[in-house]
Amino acid sequence: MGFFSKKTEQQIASYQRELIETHYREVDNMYRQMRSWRHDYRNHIQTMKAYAAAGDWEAIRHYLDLLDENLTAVDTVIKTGNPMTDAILNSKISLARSKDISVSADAYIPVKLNFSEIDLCCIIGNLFDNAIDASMKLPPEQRYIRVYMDMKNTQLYISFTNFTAGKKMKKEGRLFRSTKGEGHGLGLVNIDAIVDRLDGYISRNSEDGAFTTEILLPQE
Amino acid sequence: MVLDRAAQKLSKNEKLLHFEAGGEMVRVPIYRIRYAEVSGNYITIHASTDLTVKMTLRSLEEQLDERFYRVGRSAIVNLTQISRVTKTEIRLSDGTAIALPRGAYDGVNRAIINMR
Repeated sequence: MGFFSKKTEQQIASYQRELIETHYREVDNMYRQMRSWRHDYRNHIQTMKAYAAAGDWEAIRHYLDLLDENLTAVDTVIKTGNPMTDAILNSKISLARSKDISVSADAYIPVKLNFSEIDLCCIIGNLFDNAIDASMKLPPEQRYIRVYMDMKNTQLYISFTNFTAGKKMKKEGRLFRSTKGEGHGLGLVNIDAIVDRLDGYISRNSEDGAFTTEILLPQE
Repeated sequence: MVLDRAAQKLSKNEKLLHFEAGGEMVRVPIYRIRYAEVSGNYITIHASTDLTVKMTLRSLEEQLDERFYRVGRSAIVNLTQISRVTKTEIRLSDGTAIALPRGAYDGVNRAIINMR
């Protein structure tokens, strides 16, 4: 990676460490939730039995609704077929939702990746972070991010779209200028470096109100 | 839905093209065609075997379907056979490299993305 300055390389390394830590937290969080569910299971049964004995059907109905909601919260996890991708997508999706951004994610990775998962996570992490940042300039009800991943024959296809507050942006080379000012846009350069190294294709498209990034990564 | 698509796929794959080569009629299933290239007044069709016939690339192109992409003046490539596209060439799964004319890079990648 000779074309990066030492400072940039350090920033990338620290970003990657940060990503891995996020994964661990996410996986840990999922296990915790599942353990707590198993732990509570008996209590739920007991409570509902008590309501049933008292003939309080309204209370049972309410209790079931609550459980349903709770389970949905645990269960809205993405399963792509690639564990590390699942971890980063799920943690970014919950981060986005905590910021009132609606996220629609449809992702399948039916192959064993032929490149480092760190690279893929770096791409997804950066794309998601950028999409979240852009969404925050919109009022909550207009925030929306769409993630789509699947195979295009033998190549992995990744598509990210987010709604934006801005007008169509102008391209400089194949990048758009970072809207975060000088010294930013590191994520974009980072993604490009990975895509180039893997002989992949990247396309960015800015429209009034929406921004899309599409990537192809060869797998054979 | 899935069955419809499967049926469509089958009928697509079964479609045969007929070529006359060396006084003989040769039938080639479309999906077997990996790519075709121009050499003078002839084109060479790379399918199960290589077949050189006297015809224009355009007339072949008209008989093919949306799985095929025209690369400049000299070649047509089956998008499903592409393993990667670099700035200078298209690499197929069988190892063939097809030179990419200037300005064709985005077009062929878009065609791959727009494939169903």
